[in-house]
Amino acid sequence: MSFIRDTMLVFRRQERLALRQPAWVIIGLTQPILYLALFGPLLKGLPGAALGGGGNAYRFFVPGLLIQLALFGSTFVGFAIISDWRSGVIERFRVTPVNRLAIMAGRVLRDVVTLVVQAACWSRARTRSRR
Amino acid sequence: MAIIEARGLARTFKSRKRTVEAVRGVDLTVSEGEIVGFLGPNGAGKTTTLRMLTTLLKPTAGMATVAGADLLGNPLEVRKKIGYVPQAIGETMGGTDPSCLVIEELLDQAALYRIGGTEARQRAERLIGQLELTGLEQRLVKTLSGGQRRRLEIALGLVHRPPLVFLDEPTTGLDPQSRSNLWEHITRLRSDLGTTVFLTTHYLEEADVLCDRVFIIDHGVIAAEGTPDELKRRISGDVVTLRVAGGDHGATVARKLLADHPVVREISAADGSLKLTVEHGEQALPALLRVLDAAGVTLESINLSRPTLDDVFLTLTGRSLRDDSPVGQVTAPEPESAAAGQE
Repeated sequence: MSFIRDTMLVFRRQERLALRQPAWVIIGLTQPILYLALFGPLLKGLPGAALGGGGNAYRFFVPGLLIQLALFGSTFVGFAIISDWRSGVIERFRVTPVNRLAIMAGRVLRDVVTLVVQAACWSRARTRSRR
Repeated sequence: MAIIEARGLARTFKSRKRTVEAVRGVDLTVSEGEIVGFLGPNGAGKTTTLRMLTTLLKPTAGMATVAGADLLGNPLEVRKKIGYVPQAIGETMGGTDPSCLVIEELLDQAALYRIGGTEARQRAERLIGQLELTGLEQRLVKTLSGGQRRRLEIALGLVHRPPLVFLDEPTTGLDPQSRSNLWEHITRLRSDLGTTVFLTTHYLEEADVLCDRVFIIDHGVIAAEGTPDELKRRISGDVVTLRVAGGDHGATVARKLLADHPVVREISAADGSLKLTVEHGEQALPALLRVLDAAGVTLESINLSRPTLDDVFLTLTGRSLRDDSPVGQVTAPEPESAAAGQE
């Protein structure tokens, strides 16, 4: 199907561009761990039970941070589209027979993948910190 | 066969309470294999028309067939068959991502047209050779010079070998040498691949050198259409300037002799020289000289100047083309000399 093909095409392009900036890759990977390491200790005294965490503050802190990252991520999709719009890249794509929705879906998919990787880092960090 | 056929194409922009009629009813017919130029000052509606023909903008009125497909009914078919190189200045830039590699842009563009693998690589390689981008494959787009980047943008528009290419001000911002290089590339497109080229420009000499046919557009309507020579001939004749020995007296004598000559359309004298407007200047000149010679009038100098597209534009719209295009002034050489060099 052309939508999936085109989405993957846009995704691969965006992924390639993102990986070319090692600084952002490192920031993206360490960010979740930094958040946990820096903010985690502050949560020790919080009455987690009252917030539905069942006594463990990490149970609501971690999903909360994930949601925050996801929100940030979707904002950045918009920013990336603005800069591509300015450089005429979107326009150039729109003249080709590429699926219109895929131009955006590919970018969103890239951020979803980033988020999944960050979440994976987190769960590793969390299991470690439990031991 | 007509590759572009547009009837009454119009586009109105509405912002708050104001409506701007950017294009008001454009009729175009372009045959296969032609190089056609769209000439007009900034804001005349060149880019808007181009964006309508390339499916980027929906016309508010009118209809068109582009590359055998209906523009409104089947934009996808149109997109498959056209190449588009956007303007490199203004609202949107030329369409290359500064942090991409040159080769990646070409392969990605091919993939957008469902061309992949070795085929895409071969085409990219050939275009890199043709557009003199050899050795730049692994360079980031942002490290390219203006001319190289423009050539890459043009290569991107050609990856899928479209039968019809739209170039929006292809040479704006390039130095004179890169411009004439690019002209060669564009001419070769037609001679090698039979590509129809539709370009916009506000450089008069560019339209003169490159185009088989020129549409002059002003205020959203087509003011004139024809080959550059036709346009120039139709609107203003050639100007012959004669400098006669003997000052004002000589000039008056010569004026009397020439005023009734059949080839002379207009005649005026100033500072001891005569200015004649004639048709087919190069053929009229010997006849004029013979008349003067027979009467024993001596000439100090003689000058024949062909009308430029700028004169044509002036006659049509009452203002100079260059008055309205500050962007174009930087590298625009004198149109007169360019026209004379071509003749």
